[in-house]
Amino acid sequence: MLIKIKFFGELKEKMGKRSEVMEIERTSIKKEELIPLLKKSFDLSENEIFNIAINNSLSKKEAKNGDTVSLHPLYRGG
Amino acid sequence: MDVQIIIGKIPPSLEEIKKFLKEKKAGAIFIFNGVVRAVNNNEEVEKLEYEVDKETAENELKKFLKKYKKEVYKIFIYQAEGILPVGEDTIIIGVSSKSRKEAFSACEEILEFMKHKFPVWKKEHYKNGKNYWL
Repeated sequence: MLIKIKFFGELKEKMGKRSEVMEIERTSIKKEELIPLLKKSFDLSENEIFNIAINNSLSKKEAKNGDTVSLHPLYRGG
Repeated sequence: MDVQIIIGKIPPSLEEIKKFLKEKKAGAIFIFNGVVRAVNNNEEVEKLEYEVDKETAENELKKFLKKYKKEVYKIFIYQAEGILPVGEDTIIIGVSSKSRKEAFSACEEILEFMKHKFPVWKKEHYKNGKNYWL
């Protein structure tokens, strides 16, 4: 399956791009499986903490073919 | 309950916000306005740069605001994005409610949500040329 990964904040600077398309040899993937996979694929530290939104929702738990996954560094609003 | 959310570069005027928040049943209107401060961590700030995942931010905020059903009548929220010089508005939260207690409390809860659970990031640029993601 193909998913679009979007980067934000510090992560966007680190990656040097806003987004990229990633191929995963699965038909779906759970959020808790996706996090370590993304850390490995994008050479992010094991200790790096980030949130994931799937199709603009933080509560969605599974990504499927064609979905957009937003990779969020720790929130710093206010 | 009426909700207005604006994520953008130009906030509406205070008069426009008050006009939206006015409600016959309401006995209180509370408006919080965050601005870019001139000094942070003992360094002189030149500007703040805000980035927002707009679609996710709006979705999550709408979900969070569903908790206010009874005595909160209207909620206005502005979140800045882009480059903001010192003194500019970063965030505006307005609440109209039956009495002051609900307005204060809702405003504080929304602000805490937006500080910690809302996809916004800020980079501070200092007058000495340094900059950091906060």
